[in-house]
Amino acid sequence: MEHPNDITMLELLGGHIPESDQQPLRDHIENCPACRIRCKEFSQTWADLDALKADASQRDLTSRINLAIAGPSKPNWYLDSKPLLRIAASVLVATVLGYFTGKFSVQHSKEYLQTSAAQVLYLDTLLPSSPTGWADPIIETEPKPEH
Amino acid sequence: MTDDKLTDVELMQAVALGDMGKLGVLAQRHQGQSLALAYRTLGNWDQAEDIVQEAFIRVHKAAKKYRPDAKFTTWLYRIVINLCLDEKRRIQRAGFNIADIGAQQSGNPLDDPAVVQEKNEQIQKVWRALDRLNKRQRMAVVLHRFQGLSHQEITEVTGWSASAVESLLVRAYRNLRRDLDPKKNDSF
Repeated sequence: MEHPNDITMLELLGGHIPESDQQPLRDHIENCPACRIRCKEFSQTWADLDALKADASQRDLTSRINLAIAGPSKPNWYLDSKPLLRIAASVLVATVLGYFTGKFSVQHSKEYLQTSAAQVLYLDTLLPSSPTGWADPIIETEPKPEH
Repeated sequence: MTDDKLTDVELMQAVALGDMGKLGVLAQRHQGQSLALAYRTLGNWDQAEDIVQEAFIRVHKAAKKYRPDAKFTTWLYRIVINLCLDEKRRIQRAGFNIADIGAQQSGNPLDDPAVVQEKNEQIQKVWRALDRLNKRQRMAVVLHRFQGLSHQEITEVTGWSASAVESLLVRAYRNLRRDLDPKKNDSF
């Protein structure tokens, strides 16, 4: 039998060689000094690596995984609060919205205000110092006959 | 049929249909080995837990695309390995805190302190030797020695060629032998 290469020896150590091939390999290694030394070195390293214990038996990630996938539920203060409180909150929001909407409406625009002020002044000029505050009717008098 | 009797493929099919309970069964079944793989690669339990959590989240997201061409563990380990390699690149560190590892693996406090001390020193020596390997050699050794994968299965998990895996394994074991027993480094 040919000398087994290093990867074959490692596979033998790992238990990945078919059972039918294992015994001939072991027999060769037992009888070949060079192969026996190589196998012994690999076996020693294999055994030394036993020191790298990684006992994960006390660790359970199932809850963490489920939580990470589901995502945390965010509390909804509006839906969770009592009906009266919801109504009050809705009215407040509507009022505030209405205020700000009105503030920026057409009737509060600069141009509209200027036009409104101008209209007032114009009316004042049409009705100067009227005792009643109302416009005196303008009565057309008959033209005097020409002599 | 109880969940324990379902195969990994059957569980994945259930997860693809939205059954979160079956994902929990998969996690219970495989988290131990996945954690050990991540821990031996990164040397830190907290990071290992984060990696494995993320791996199962990805399993959940990709459940509908999962095809049982290979074993579920091959697919899962590939995800874990890629996450570990990304983590190592991210933190860009050469090693890990050997002192922490020694403390974690302390024996029974009732044991003879001298024996415990010697055992811890041996543990640290082996961790250091593993840490001196390059990323790929270390990964190959961890998969071969601890996950029990054959060199063919390692090629499937890592995507490396068969010849590359063989070379990595042989060099890794030789380098470890050289570091663990310098007197015998001529025997190879």
